[in-house]
Amino acid sequence: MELDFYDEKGKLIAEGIPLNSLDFRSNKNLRKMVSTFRRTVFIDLHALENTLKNGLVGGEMIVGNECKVLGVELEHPIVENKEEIIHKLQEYLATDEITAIEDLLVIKVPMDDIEIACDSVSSPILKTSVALTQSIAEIFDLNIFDGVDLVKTALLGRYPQNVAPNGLLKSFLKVPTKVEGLSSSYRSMSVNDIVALSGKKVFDSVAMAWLLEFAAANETGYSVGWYKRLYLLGFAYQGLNANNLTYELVKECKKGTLYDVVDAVVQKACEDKIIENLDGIYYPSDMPLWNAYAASGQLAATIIECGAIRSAQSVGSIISTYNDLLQILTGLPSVEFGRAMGSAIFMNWLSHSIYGGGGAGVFSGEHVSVKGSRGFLIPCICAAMCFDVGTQLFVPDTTSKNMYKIREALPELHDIHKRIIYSCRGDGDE
Amino acid sequence: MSKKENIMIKRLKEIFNTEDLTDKHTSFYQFGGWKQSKRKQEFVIRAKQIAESRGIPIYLRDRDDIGVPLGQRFYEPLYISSTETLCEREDLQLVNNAAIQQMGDDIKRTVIIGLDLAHKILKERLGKEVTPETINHYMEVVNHTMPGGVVAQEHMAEVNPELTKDSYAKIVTGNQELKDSLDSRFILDIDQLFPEEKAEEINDEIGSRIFQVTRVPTIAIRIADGGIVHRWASQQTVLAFIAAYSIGGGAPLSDFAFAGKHAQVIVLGNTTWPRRARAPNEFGGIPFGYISDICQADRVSDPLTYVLESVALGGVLYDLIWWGGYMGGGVGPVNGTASLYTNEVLDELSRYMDEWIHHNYGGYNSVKPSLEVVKKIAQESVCRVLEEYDNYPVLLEEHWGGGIRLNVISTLASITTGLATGNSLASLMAGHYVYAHLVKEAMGRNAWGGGEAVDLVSIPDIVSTFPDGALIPELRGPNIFSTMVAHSAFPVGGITASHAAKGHPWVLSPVVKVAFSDPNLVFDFRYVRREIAKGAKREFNFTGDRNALRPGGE
Repeated sequence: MELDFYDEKGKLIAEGIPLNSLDFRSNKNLRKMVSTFRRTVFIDLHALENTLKNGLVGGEMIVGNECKVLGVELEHPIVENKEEIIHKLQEYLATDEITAIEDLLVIKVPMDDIEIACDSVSSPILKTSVALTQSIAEIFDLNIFDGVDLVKTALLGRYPQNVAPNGLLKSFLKVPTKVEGLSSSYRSMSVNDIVALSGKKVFDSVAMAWLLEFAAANETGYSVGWYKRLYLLGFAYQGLNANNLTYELVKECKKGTLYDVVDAVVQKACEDKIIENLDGIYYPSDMPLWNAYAASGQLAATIIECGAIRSAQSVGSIISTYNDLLQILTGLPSVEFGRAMGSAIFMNWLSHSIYGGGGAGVFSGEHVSVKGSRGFLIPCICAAMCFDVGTQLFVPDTTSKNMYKIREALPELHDIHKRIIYSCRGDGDE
Repeated sequence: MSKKENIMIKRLKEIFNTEDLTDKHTSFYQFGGWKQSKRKQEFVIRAKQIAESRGIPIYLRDRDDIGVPLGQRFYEPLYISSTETLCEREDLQLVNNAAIQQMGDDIKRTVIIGLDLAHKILKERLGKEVTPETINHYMEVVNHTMPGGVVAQEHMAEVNPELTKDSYAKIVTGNQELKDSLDSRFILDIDQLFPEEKAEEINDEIGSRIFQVTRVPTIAIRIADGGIVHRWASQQTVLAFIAAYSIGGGAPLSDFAFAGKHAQVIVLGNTTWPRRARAPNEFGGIPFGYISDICQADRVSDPLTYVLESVALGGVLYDLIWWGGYMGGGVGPVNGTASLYTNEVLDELSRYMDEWIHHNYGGYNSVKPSLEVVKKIAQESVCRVLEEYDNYPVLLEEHWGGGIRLNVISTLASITTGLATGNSLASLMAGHYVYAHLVKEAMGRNAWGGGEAVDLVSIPDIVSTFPDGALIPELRGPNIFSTMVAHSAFPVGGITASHAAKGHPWVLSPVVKVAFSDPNLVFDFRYVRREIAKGAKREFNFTGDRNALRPGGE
């Protein structure tokens, strides 16, 4: 099966791309792209200097700080010594991939380390912590009682008294002890982080979210055997605007309602002979492809609705209602056989109730409420947050400010929608 | 050194009923076995009644064929240090002592929620006004919802307040103006509760931030684990906001809930590692520094007493309740923990070392931490205690196991180093380094599996840069493999001592410090040992029982 891909303006950017070229096994560039999420860590040296100066370590609140240890304060010009710190990190970590964006260091540990590591999500943050602590200890001539342990604590937070690092040294993905389910770390980036990292562009956010979800699906066996084609097609159609379907649906229904989108999807699927209406009953000729069409419609519905109100709050109800209508109209399974709808209902409930969910931007793929849908839900929530003009309490500009900066250091993630498609043609560095 | 009366000697003479403590001989088989114990005799009588009533045997202490551990030994009673309470070991067992249970319950059922984010949501998302009047109204409502009162929902079942009467919420803030405008019933008044100088520092650090100290009912954590605490508190808080500020349903609710459950919540204990996995707010997840803050003896006593009270708190909480729960259960490790707060032993030794610090260094926080200082204090502590064991065989009899002795000496070295240097890392090193001197001086391999095993691993670990190792002592705790095993009282003592030596008003968190100064708490954290003594005498009024549900209950 070959597909054509289009950009956010409906312009053709690649044609005749084999579906299987989206498979990680056959696409080295895709593997390299996704490894960036594992091997990159970052540290704000200004924040580190301030933390050490005030003994502000160990706090666990997301907003604010409840802990302050008196008598341990360290006053050292960390920022001023940025170059020397970088030099030492390059030596200890054996990497020349360190970029400074103002006081923020974006560090990539070597691919070799990632290949050796059993837990390649945790390893970069732990190794960098050791390297950075030693670097600072050497530069400022710190001995046992001069606060070496405070430096390490500032970097990794309460770990290992708690079960995951929560200091100033950050990574994109959460370590396995913080996520629900084995091999689910690729699903652990928050929607706001993805949106900020992709420059708040709808198609790029959707593509990045899909890349991560697809990587998790690959890792957990959801894209082998019977299921492989379902997720490949989902990635292609919903994630990458294959055959311009999402774009066309948005264009066609931009002034319409959810029902118009549902109607258009069914009509298009009938025209393309993906489903067939026999005496009022719909039959699919290609179930995974029907799912991909339905998933494109789900994204189109999100773009139209959240775009119209410039707010993300309704994304859960948009997805659940869209799928509900689709099921009622056709009698066919909705996106991902009900998983997208179920997860959206759960997400919708938690983002409107007293049980602690928060707004759309704080959700992540592996969270208990949305993890039931693999790939088809989070990209739509990302799209919704791209349209939000600040109606949420937790927006990318506040929760994920650093992601905009980190983005500058990672050109391989720019225009990711196009990059993924080009990678299928074999373009890009290997 | 001091010519003052040695209370430890006085206590040992009383409990062993002898004038000559230096006697190295004793007579065996004349003490009467288990019948020495009044408590065990009571248990035997009651057990017979229970066995008859239920038809299944229970507690067979009077049988000779199931082990008779007391035939040849004197079963000495114990004085709780700093009190006149004489009790039996049974009275300090977790299940038998209601004060010890309540100590744990009062910590476990506490969660602190930042209200600033909630107020921001009210003002910015909902256009509501937040004033002292609205906060007072909210506090009334939250004190209705927290114990299980319903608002904003129909047909919801409410909780009998008799069962949840220990549940409430109060406010902490450093904003004087705001505090003066709020209803005093809902305020933890820092100025009233703390000495002036400390109050000023705490007020400054907390500033205008507003925290809600929340106690969920004890019965809640008796029917669930610590994971229920922040969820209960958050949900009832959100409901109180709904009612107090007349909020409709929808998106802002989830922001309130997210703020209370995740964004601005202080849960005292972290989740623990899978092999001993527990929910948040269980004891293994609480860092040492919080125990020093929870202990309130510094508000009413001298630094050394504060340290000794914190040792009792840390020992009972970590070793007796936590370790005894996740590792063992059943009878639990009563003796090792009790050795730290009974018969004035640690108190007398500490007073000696306190004078030694003044003699050698001129006072608290008077010597720079170094390996030499650590070794010197560890050595003096070891020699002092070994000398006491040599002089008074009954003390050796009293501290009958290597683990008990190591516990006492480590704690002594740790708190002495903390007081002398004001450095918590040095205090931890001294506590762990004691084993080396013991091996060299007298005891060879000492303690049981959980003693020097921990010391050997921790010495290199705490001064490393390893992710698994280095973490400042205040944030360490029993969830770290190298400090997790029944050897957790001394770090608390050492850390408390390090900060007490410098006169710090808190150790890890000013908010947690204030939260436990609350006079409405059931357990009085100013007098840890006195409260345990009340429990031993069965004079402690606990909460969380289900008596209201018994036939005839109200």
